[in-house]
Amino acid sequence: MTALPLTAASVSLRAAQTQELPSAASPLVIGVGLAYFAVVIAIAVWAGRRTRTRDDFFLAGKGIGLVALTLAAMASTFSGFTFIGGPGLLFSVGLGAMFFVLPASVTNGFTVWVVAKRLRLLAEVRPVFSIPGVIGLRFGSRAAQGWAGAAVLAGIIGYMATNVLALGLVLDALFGVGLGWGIWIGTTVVLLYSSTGGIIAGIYTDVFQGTIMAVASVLVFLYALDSGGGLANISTTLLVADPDFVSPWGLFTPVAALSLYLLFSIGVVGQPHVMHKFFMIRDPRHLKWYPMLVTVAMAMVILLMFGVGLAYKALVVTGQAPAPTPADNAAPLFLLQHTPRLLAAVVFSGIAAAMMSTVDAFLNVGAAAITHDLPTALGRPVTNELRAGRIATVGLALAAGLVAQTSGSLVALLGIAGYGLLAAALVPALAIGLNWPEATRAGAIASIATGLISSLVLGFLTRGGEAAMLPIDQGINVMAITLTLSLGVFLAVSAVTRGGTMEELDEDVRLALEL
Amino acid sequence: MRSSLGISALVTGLLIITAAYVAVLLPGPAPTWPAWGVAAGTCLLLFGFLDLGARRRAGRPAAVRLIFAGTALWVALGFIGILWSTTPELDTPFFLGLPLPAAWMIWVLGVGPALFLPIAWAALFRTATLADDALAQLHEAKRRTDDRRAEGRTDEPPS
Repeated sequence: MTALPLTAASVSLRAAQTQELPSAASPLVIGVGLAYFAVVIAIAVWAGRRTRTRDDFFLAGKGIGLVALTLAAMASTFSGFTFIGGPGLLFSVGLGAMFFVLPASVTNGFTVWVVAKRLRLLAEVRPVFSIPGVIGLRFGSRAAQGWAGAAVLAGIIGYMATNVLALGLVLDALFGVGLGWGIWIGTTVVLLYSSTGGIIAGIYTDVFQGTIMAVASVLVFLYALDSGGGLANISTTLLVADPDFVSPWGLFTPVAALSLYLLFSIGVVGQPHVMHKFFMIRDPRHLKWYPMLVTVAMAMVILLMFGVGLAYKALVVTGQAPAPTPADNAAPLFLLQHTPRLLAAVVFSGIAAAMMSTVDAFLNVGAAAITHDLPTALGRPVTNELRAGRIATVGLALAAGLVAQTSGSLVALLGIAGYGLLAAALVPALAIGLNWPEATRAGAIASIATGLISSLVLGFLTRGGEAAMLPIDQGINVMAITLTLSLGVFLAVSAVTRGGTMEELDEDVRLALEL
Repeated sequence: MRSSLGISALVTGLLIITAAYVAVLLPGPAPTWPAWGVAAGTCLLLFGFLDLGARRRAGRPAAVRLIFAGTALWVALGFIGILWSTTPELDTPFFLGLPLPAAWMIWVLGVGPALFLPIAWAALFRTATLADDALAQLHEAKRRTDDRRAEGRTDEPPS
């Protein structure tokens, strides 16, 4: 087996779109793109009129239904990775890339059973609207809330800047406006709907975007199979060319692939931009059908990554298509060459939309951290959180745009750390803390600090490729290591400390954690 | 510290995964067992988290624990199948368009749990997750807490 020692960093660099895409600009593509943006802006205007309070801005007034929750969670989870980075990664390393998305079969059931109900019930008895706020409430600790808020900010800033940069590249490919203008047009559109309409705008643009993502992905998948004469023909072509490519691990080592499974199956609970949506559902009983619906929606979107990654590789192997340079161009090239132009236009707009929905969700949780969690931790609560939320949203968006435009490699480095940092910092305090009565305040603070600091340090030292200061053998995802470390710290510290257990909570909060 | 099955599974899983990572990171040629260790540890973590998550004051139905054990075993079966598999060759049988090891990965690991975990959640929602009177209980508890706060008595520790 010719397994490549791909590091987490190099994988994530492939996952993050940081290089120019092939131009798709044509009257039809531009027209579809403009129509798309018009719908998004119309939703923003509508949502802006409905956003009157802090709860509207951060919690959509706790009034969203099951379908909206499903599509918004799916759209926020997948970002542009499934459309560009995913197919490109699969093109590069073979079926092992599926370990990024295979956990989707488990994560939705896992999420509802482990945290979703608890989060929603806590929102029923207390005015919580952020994940750090929940951690502060559970452990009766402003320090835990502050550490969690800091982790959220550290995790999202690079993640967001990476998505803004990718958005700029996609808009450049769509409209031919250049990267700089692409970044700022994308930032402005996201800013428009997220600062005026808050999370209401975010949720309902996600509904629109998520629907298109799911339907378009299935169509593209069918075109992908057709382009290669069916899945069996594609597999046979690839099997002849490179048997490892169609082995379960692809070109990953087994340990590397399994580390991805570990990180992405359990780490989802630590993603605040997805978890905070559970506060917003109108009736907690709607959660009954959520995992089933969101799993179906995710499966539809994953088809694009799977189909295009395999099909385009077969087309290249048989000389029917040019090799994409870089590999992330596999999906855009396939769309331009092998699907009807209208579908390509819709998918290109969908890619931009997916990135915008992720940025919007990050802006919302980041604004909550700045205006609520950190001031609360410092004992200086903000009086007008709606106004402060809008200002923080503008500030964060501008910061992300500036970082994206001015520091390319730093963006990628920060983006690499994002998902894993959030997982390592927040999973223990949420997934164990909300469910284990004996989890302690000191355990929560220690694990959040461990996850935050170890992710930043190891993420920096292993920043990929030849520049790595600390090469990790066999491509183990360094963020799987930091997640393991923070979980261990949480359990060990909770075992030897007291204070912050569930016994000390108010009756209603404790009941929310025990129902 | 009172032990529970969920916490025991988490601790065991973490120890196994840690040992696997240490074995890989030590100087010298990496052994092959760490992949099995990460796979086994991941399954234990999944079971441990799910078992903790289903904890309720009223206790959890036995069916829930069986479902979680079944999920972890199913995922383990998926891992075992691909860990045992060899690189496919031209005479490797196909299943639904993919060489058998790849098909095993997609269908057993990628599709299987999606078919029963969400369905089990929906089927057991009333009995194992949120009973009909749960929200009423919660609102009543909140009212009592608010009353105590109004009287200046609170159970919540100072932050």
